Amino acid sequence: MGIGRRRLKQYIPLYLMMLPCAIYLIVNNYIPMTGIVAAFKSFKVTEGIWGSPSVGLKNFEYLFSSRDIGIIIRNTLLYNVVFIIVNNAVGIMLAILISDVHNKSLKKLYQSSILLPFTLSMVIISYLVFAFLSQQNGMINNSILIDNPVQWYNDPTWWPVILVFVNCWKGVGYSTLIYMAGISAIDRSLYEAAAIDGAGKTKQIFRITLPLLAPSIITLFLLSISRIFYSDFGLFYLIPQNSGSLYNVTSTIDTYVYRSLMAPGGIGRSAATGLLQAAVGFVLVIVANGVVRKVDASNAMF
Amino acid sequence: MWKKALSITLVLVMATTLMAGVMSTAFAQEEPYTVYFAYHAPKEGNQAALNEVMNELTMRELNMKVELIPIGWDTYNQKYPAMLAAQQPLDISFVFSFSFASFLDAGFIVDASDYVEYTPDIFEVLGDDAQVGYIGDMLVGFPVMNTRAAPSAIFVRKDIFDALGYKESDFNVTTDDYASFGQITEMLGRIKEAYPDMVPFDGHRIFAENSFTWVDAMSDGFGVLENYGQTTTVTNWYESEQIKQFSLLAREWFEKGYTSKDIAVTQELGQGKMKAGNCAAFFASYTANALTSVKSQTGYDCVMIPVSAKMKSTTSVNAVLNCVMQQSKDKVKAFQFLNWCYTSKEFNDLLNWGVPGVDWVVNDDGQADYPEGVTTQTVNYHSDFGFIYPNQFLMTPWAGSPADIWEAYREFDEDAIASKAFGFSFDAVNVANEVAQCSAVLSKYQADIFFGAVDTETGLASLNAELYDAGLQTIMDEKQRQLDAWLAKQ
Repeated sequence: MGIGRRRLKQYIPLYLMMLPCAIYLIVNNYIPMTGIVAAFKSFKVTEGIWGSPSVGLKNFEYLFSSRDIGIIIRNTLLYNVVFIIVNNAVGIMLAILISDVHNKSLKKLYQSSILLPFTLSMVIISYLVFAFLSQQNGMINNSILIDNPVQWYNDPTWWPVILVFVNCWKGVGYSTLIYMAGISAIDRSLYEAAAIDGAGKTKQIFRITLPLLAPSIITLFLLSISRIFYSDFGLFYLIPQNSGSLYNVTSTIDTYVYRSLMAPGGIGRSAATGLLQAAVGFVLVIVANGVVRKVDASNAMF
Repeated sequence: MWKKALSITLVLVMATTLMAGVMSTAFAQEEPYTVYFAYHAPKEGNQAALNEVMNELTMRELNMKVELIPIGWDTYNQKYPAMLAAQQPLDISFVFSFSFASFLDAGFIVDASDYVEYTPDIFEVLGDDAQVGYIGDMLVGFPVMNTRAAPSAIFVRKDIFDALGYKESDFNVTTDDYASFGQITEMLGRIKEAYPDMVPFDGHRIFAENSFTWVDAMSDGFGVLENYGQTTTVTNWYESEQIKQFSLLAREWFEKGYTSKDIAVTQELGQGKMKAGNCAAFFASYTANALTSVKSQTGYDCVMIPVSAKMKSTTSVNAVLNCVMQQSKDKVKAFQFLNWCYTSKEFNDLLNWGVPGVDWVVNDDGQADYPEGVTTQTVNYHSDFGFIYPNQFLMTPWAGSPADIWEAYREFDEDAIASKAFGFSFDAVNVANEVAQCSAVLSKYQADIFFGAVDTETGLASLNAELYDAGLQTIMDEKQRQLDAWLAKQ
């Protein structure tokens, strides 16, 4: 007891520092969670959120009654899996490459230019993409493919590649930055010792850089896996210009919710979908973290 | 996204209940009732000065005060349902027809049939057209007083039209003979030849996109009365010969390069494309005085080639309704106020043109005009949304309009064909799920098929197959059932 109190006293400043964030979290993230009840209600404004009639799981049924639900879930999951793999792989590669650039100003230039797309809004990117793919004035159809133009926005063939590319181009700067921080924390003497022992660049990467980066990789992986049932609405709605021919490869849970939100009962149904997304994300994080802990307890998040 | 929306909603709910509590105690001592009046406007936040002037008018005539709430298109689409759910103080609001189902489902709107004794003047002004406000037994609201028919036309730049030696009398396009649409195809071909750098036809509307022009769409277009509503059998328009002909025509234009290759993708208005200078023609629905407004929107003089007959249907009249909302503190007062809105010339003028002497003056011709030194760019309040305010026919017309403009508007409707189901409104509540699923299917196919970006036959075949899978037949059966019941009562 005595020890506990002394400890508490010792940490009071830290708790005080945490307080504003904790209040923010409670007000902004926890209190609104009561809205989850809307997922089980047929919302009537005259009755209020508590008084509205309960409809059980009907709001969830709507989600699964769609004929396209298989395609929608497949798209959401597969795109996210590919995004996680591609963004992390490319991010690590770029981080290693940039870390080895010795010229300070060039290093900064590369780093900033990779991060730049991360700061752009999807609306702007959708027009950049349109400038390339436009069927009337687009750069690609009017230069490379001038004799054999592709109806980009009506032909789903290439969109999985286009979306993965755009997502990587936009998002890779962020993971590169985190991995560069991880690499810069690695003791340079390890590399010097390895070089003396005759290890080449490739060997240094696989034996020193990657193993020591593992904690960052796992953290980023766990963070992204919790969002696996979510999708970037802008990427899937704005980049393909909401073109109907492409729905089979661009429909995800978020675009689906958006399209059905205007229909009757939208509040209950979107609450239900959101609850489902959060629940799946929660379960996946617990499972993934459990697996990591089994393999190597020191790398697990909790 | 939902989480954010929901948290905002909840915070708003809490804040507004608090506010409402504070305010209602304040009102208890203050006698004149304040009507919160939401109206559609191109701009928000410029109404403070106007609100003062409006208050003087309403205090004088009604012993009520008014709080004006301008709502833009984006706000309506993205935030309005959340604002309503948050119980923001509101008495009267405009509601677009595409929101009826969801607003009724959520219980946002008051049934006006319980208050008809307070709205006699509205019924007087609207006449039979007031019937379109009924959905089932509920009187949802009142349509605005405006032109009723929504025929469509192709608008062509006059300089190009004249340069190619065309005369308006050369064109006689009618749905009785689809071959007559070939006249337009031929013209677009000559435009392409003579102006190779221009896109002959562009925009975000085309024949099949304007269902309300050709058929009685019965609110959502899933099950319609074809041939300008001159039948009482509900059919699937997407299987009709008409849709096929319209889509084939668009396909021909697309393949010959008469339309932009991006026409199915970009959502920009034809008016905007023409203003940018690269587009020779576009498709749009029109009312009386159309060429004056097209000139102000595009900057070009245009020629109008009508391509349809004129029809009025419930859907074209109840596109927007003025409704009393459920959070109104005093519904009788709200209906009395709304009743007055349809009869007061001053109210309609103020709402449309702003503060007299500051935003507008009456010129020597008795028409509204900018005061000395005020221009389109510098004016504070200038809605020019008369078509969506309670009674456009009372308004002072803007300078440059024909002297007898409202007469012309009335005449415009006189030779319109009325749909056989005019006055009938479909109540979608039993098939809400099917309608939602069908809307999702349609949005997947419509732009590509109707603008001709994909093969017509295969496109229409998969559209119809998916529509039936999504429950189209159920909607059509329900519509036919409700229509038959309605017809039996007539």
